[in-house]
Amino acid sequence: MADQDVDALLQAPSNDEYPTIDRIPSSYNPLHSFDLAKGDQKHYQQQYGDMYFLRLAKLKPAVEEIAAEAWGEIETAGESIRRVDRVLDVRQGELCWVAGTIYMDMPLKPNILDDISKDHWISAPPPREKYISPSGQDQIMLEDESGRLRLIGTPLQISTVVTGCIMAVMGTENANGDFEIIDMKVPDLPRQPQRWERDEASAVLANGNGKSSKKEQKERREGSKVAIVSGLGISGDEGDTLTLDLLMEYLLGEACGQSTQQEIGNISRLIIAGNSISEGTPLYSRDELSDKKTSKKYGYDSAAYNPAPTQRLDDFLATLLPSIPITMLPGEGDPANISLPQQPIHPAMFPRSRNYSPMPGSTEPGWFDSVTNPWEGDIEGWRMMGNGGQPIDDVFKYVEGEERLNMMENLLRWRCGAPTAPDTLWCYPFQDKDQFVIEECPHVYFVGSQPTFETTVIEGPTGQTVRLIAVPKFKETGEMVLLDIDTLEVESVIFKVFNDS
Amino acid sequence: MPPTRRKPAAQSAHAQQTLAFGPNSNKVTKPSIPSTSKKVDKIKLEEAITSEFSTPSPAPEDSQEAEVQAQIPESPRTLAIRSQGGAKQADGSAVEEKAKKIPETQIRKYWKGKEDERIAPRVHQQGLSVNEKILRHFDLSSQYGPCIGIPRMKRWKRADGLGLKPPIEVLAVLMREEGRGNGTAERAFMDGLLTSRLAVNE
Repeated sequence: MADQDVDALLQAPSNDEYPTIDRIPSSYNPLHSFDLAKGDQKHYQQQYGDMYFLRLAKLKPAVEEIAAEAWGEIETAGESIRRVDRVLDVRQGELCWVAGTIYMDMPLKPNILDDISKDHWISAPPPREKYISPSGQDQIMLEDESGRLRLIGTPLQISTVVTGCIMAVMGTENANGDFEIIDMKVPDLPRQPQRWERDEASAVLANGNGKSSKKEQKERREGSKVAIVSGLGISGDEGDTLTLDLLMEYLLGEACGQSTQQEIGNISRLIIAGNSISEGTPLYSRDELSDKKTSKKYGYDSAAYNPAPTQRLDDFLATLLPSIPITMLPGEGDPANISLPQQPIHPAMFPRSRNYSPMPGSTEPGWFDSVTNPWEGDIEGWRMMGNGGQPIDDVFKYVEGEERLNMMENLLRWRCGAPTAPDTLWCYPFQDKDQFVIEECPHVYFVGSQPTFETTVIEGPTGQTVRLIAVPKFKETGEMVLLDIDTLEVESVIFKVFNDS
Repeated sequence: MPPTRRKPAAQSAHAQQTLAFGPNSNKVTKPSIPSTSKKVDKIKLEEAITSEFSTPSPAPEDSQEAEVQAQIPESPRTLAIRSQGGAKQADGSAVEEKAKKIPETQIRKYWKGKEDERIAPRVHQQGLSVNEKILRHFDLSSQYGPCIGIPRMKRWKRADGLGLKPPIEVLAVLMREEGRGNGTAERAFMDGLLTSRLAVNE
């Protein structure tokens, strides 16, 4: 491919007509599962206990079905395994199984008392990388509305558990009052929709008959790709412009030669999975703020606000948008709310890219779709689910080991998008429905802002297959991920600046 | 940012046509789905829903005869209809209608059944009406979730939506209390005790 392009360089101008390369249009149908009500409709008076209740009510039937199938027929030493309704109903010496929520009691978890210790000592202790206590003081418990039951046993060391995942455990209670586990079951992957299922369903409603029109089927092109990038880390400094410009030129089809440009024309959509802006302004602590004499004119402190990162990001997006549709998820460092689900970055932050956003009040997704984090939607018929990395980073702190793909797989098998959510991950107190419960298995699950690029395919009990993608931080690795829509294969494109050192 | 301007008290006569940013905007571009088809959809949808309700036989088998593309196991039609929230709303008001029709005797029978389950009578409940006793028993039934921070009606509907089968007599009592204008029965008694919004420092 590169050899043909070599001839394109250093030539005299010619009168040849070069064919214009078109970009393949993207078929896009996002879901609004994580949109929260605006303004007055969003309440914070409720407690988080509702969320745990909702999660258990939704997933308990699923996990009990799997457990009954697995353990219902077994007879050991003449006794069959009984199912108990509540966690506290287990009897000593009797083999039984029960389903509930896992709770991990770890002394190193962030504690409200750390805030108080900050008043007495000079500064707060630095945030820990892992909450696992080295001396084995962690306790794993099973909880439901009746109470908690302490769990011990070998299956806990083999499989990973985190606070908030729903499980069915089988075993017996010992003399200490602890429940010794022999086996555990998870809800496993939910039902996976067929490709194009939602688009065909909405076509049925629009046309009123059972066929999807021939015109729509013809519009489904083959050979398109989706580009996923994360962690752009724009800080407004001059240092990060070069790789960013390379990325921009690549996506616009200005870089490389004719044949590569043809391939780039297959990229139908760009997904930015969080952390586009690195934290430029320092966050002052309470004491420092009271010492500084800030002049607040017009309602904000002009000395502390640095508009450069958002301006640079806006320029980046506005250059790309005429050519390629973009879906942007907010991340940890982005100007969106801190608690999950993060709402879309407000269009006011992007004065130039705003022109490509949908009109306020319309329900269609625009060319530039600023979406929630986590996000779910249909691209080219495939159900895609992704987030900016916060759930996985939080699960990382609970488990030993560094296997990010393992954690992503576990998240899907637990059917929980953010299992640690009310516990150590800040989130909105849902009262009607725990939005993080995964009801339909995606075809592609991508997580942004991970340390390295990793990908695999996992399989489910009823034939579901999911492609897992861990997207690395562009600022550190310069990698962008290309997902082929027809085969769901993944490749990565690396942008690097030649350094003579 | 410039200081905000107060709106003029009286709107001047509409000398100039104002710009409209919203769904009513007179856009030059064509909408993707023509709005007339939405009305047709609603009528067809209601017909479809009533037909779905009247035939208790499993829906997928029904619609598979009309299915054109055989490779999709669940027809897009049933999925589309199921995904529409319209069916749920029809359900909600149907349940409320049913609850309105429940006679007083059924509620008494329900409560008598609950009291007979116990060996000892309930203590500290002498001053309460039977309705309030029923509601408090519903509050403490933890299988429907925590009773704090949520109105009783909403909690009942949520439990119903999750398939936990809360007793319909409780909904009947709630609707009666609401009809009587009893505001205190809206939230659990414990909710009032545990979430006091006024500082009691005096």
